[in-house]
Order: sequence, then structure tokens, then C-alpha cells
Amino acid sequence: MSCSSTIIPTAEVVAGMVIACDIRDANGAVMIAGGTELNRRLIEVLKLRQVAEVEVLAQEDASQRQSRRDKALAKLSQQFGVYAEDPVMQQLLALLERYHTRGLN
Amino acid sequence: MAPLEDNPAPAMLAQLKQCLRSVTPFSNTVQTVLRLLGEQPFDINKICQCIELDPVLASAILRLANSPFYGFARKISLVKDAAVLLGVHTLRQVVISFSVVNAFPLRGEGGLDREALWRHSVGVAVGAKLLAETLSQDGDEAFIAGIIHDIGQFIMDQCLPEQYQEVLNRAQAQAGGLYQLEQQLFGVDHGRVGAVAIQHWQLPEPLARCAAYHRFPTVERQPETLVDLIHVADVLAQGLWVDGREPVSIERLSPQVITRLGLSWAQIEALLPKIDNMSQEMIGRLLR
Repeated sequence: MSCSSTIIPTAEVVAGMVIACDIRDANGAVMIAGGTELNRRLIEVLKLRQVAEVEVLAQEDASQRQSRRDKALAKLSQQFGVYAEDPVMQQLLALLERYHTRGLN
Repeated sequence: MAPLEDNPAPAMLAQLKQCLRSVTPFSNTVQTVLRLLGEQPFDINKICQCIELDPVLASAILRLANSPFYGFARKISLVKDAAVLLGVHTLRQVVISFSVVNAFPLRGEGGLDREALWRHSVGVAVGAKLLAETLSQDGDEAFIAGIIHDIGQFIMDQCLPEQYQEVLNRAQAQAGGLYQLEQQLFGVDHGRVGAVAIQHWQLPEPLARCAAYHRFPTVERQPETLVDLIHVADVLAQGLWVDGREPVSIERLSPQVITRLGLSWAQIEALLPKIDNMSQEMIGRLLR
């Protein structure tokens, strides 16, 4: 993964970045697991625990992001195709669409 | 390969039954551990000594105990610490989950994409546990139920590799009919096969009912929270991950189940990122 990840100072970390490898404390316990997407709370934790820098996965560029979003949305519209008239499934669809497109406009 | 008849073949059913009995996910050591875990009062030293007889099991327990999923603040490097910190219930969950996953290697001889199904099953397990905890229910039992909810598919793939491949091929061509096709060709579906196996392994009865009914939680029977949890977690897992192998249309989420559980859309939405992240975490630790 090293080619697609970068080490950045904790001060420059923003929500939405994804941790590349487990972050461990001095005792070796996993503080935040690799693969976790950072949110405001976790960034606070990093600062409180005085983690100086973190390795994050390279951020997708705009076009990769767009294509991932399109793929997820296309899959959802196919999976839910037969439930156009079903209010519960439409609610679930809306929720999953919001999740798959989070952090994007 | 022998062509499949479109009538349930008694010979195949018999073969399946016989083969099912030969699938034993629990080694003698694991059986002893599970028995000791069920004793009242239990003897933690005896349990740990027994676990240490099986180094693969011991290292799996440590690997899982160190997952952020269980959220311990320090590195656990002794089986005894893992047992004490996890507690008897969660330890039992870890032992059963690991043993079952281990019994069906990622690459089988048949046509089932086992890795994809295990990833899905772990996702359902994590989702069921998190949903259960949100609703103040037993998360450990929900996790086990999630791990084994589709175990019947692994058994069919193991016992009748060629015939099951044919079923899977046909199911891909005509949407949504896996249960129907299994019924047609074997006279039994994977839900039922899983339930029989779970009974045979002497796991609790509600787990067998999860395998049999999670797809049909509203058929005429006493509603059961565990089955309802697996139903919701199963649908969510189908909507959460794109790997191109999922069925053409998603399973229908039962509104009755949502009402019965007293689950709100806000609660489900809040759990999605947790289910997503923790599943990836557990997949990494369980499937290796």
C-alpha cells in the first residue's frame, strides 16, 4: 500500500481521510485500525493522544471519486429496480444513496 | 457431468444428508473448550490450558481479541488475558466463528465464490452485533448467527460441488430464484440444510432458526428477535458493498421486522459507517 499512501502531520489531517495502517499506542494496542475513515472525533483523539503524524491512503482524485460514486449508484438503482412502489425500500434506498455519496456533492 | 433432473433427486438428498454429518467444524479441542465454557461455574485456567493445546486456535483468539471491534486499550498477548477481557460469552463467539470459517477454506472445489460469501457473512455478523447492541440485545449470539446464516450454501458447495455449481449458474441467469432452484433440484434449500447442520453441531436452536428463516422473517411463526436482526443485517450487507457478485436485486426489507424491532431509520443510518468499517476490519482478521 506504500505507493498509494502518504504520511502527513496530524495537524493537516481532515475528516474523510482513510488511515492506511493500524495506529498503535506505546503499549502496542490498536488505537485506530487501518482502513478507518477519519471523522472529527477521531481527529480529536489523535491530537489528544499526541500522535504526531499519520499514514493515510492517497485521496482519490475527483474523477476516481466520481466513478466510484457512479458505480455505487448504478448498482443501487439496479438492486432496487423492482421496488419502485415500495415505500420502505425507497427509504432504504435513499439512506444507502446518502451513504455511498457521503462527502461528495 | 451428469445432467440435472428438474425433480428433486432422492439420491442427491441422501448424499447431502450423509455428507452433512461428515462436516465437523469443531475439533476435539474446540468441543472441549465449548463444553468448558458452558459449565457453571467455569474454570478459566482449565479453559485456557485447553485452548493452548491448539496453537492455531490460540493465535486466532489473540488476533481477534486485538481487533478494535472489541475496543481494548492495550495489546493482548496472552490467551488468559484475552479470555478474561473478552469474557466467556464473547470468547465463545470468537471460538465458534473462527472454527466455522476455518472449516470451509476460501477455495473450494465447487463453483461457489466462498470468499465473497464469507465477506458477506462477516458483514452480516458485524451488522447483527451492532444492531443488537443498539437495541440492548445479546450481540455475541447475533454475531454467531450472522456468521452461520448462509452456512447451508457452503455445505451444498462442499457436498455436491458439481450439482451446486449448476444451480448457481442457473440462479445467475434468472434473477432471485436461488431458494426455488435449490428446492427444485435438491428438494431442500440452503436455509434448511444450514439449520440441520447447526442442529447436528449442537449449537443453540435459535441459530438454526436464523439459518432457516432469515430470508422469510414473516412466515407464520412466533417472531424472534435474533431472526429479525439477521434479516435486517443481511439486507444492509447486500446494499453496503459493491463487489459485482451480489444478486441482481436486493432482498426486500420487511416493514414488520423494522416495527417489531423498534428500529428507527436514524438508528440504521447512524450504524452504516460503523458496520462498513468494522466489517472490513473483521474480514481482515477472520479470513486469512
